[in-house]
Amino acid sequence: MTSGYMIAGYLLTWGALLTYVWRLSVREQRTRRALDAERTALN
Amino acid sequence: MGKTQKILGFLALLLFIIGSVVGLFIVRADAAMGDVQRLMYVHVPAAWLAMLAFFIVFIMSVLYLVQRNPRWDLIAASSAEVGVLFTALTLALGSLWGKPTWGVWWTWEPRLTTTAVMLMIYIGYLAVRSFADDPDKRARWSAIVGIVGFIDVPIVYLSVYWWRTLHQPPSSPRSVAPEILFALLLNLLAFTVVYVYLLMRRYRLAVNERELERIVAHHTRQISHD
Repeated sequence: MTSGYMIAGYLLTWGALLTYVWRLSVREQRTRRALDAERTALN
Repeated sequence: MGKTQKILGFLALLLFIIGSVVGLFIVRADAAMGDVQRLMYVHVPAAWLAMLAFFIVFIMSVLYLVQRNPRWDLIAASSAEVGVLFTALTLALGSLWGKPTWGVWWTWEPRLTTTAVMLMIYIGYLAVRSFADDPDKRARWSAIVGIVGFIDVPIVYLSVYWWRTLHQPPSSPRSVAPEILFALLLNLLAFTVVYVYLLMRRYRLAVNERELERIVAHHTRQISHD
């Protein structure tokens, strides 16, 4: 009966953490690319 | 990504998988509450780690104001972001646990309310950072918010003792079955490693963002001189 809430909770936990890691990766790539472009423009 | 970070990421994933398997399949379900009690293995560690994250924000904010080293500011900001994630998760998991046990998704009960206030404070902390353009001003303002805002964290912890209402106080290790305690501590370890991993990655990103900001500012100054 209560297993639906339990499954939802674990899916939410995994989903939230994996989404955050994915968003971090996107931000890391974007920042690195922008840094490279700015450094090239300075030189 | 550095080697240490990769190893930590792998360890975090491994521990999190083991923790979830133990919490979901190995430990017996609670006789009174049934399967929903298994949410304790993610709800409680998420709450503890949220508080630890904000304690780190507090310490780093104090260190920044004393030493004015930008490193402390960037660690504080990184920890605040991860703490917001854990706090939101704590509230959502608590709501999923509350519905079948208390009969409501949400109630303005002291522990829940003070936790919601804590979430708002640290969302505010992140908002303050996005408003200030000058890095020094941003660091100074957010350090003040990080110190003053921390007042709510012990209130969240003590709320279940001060106002004995719906949310139960933490159970003593002596009153909990050993297998439940083991699963809880294992998941707490998994969440701690996940926190350290996320903090490390977010900090590296913050360092790069700061460097980018510095170069762009330098570039803009050069253009305006020309």
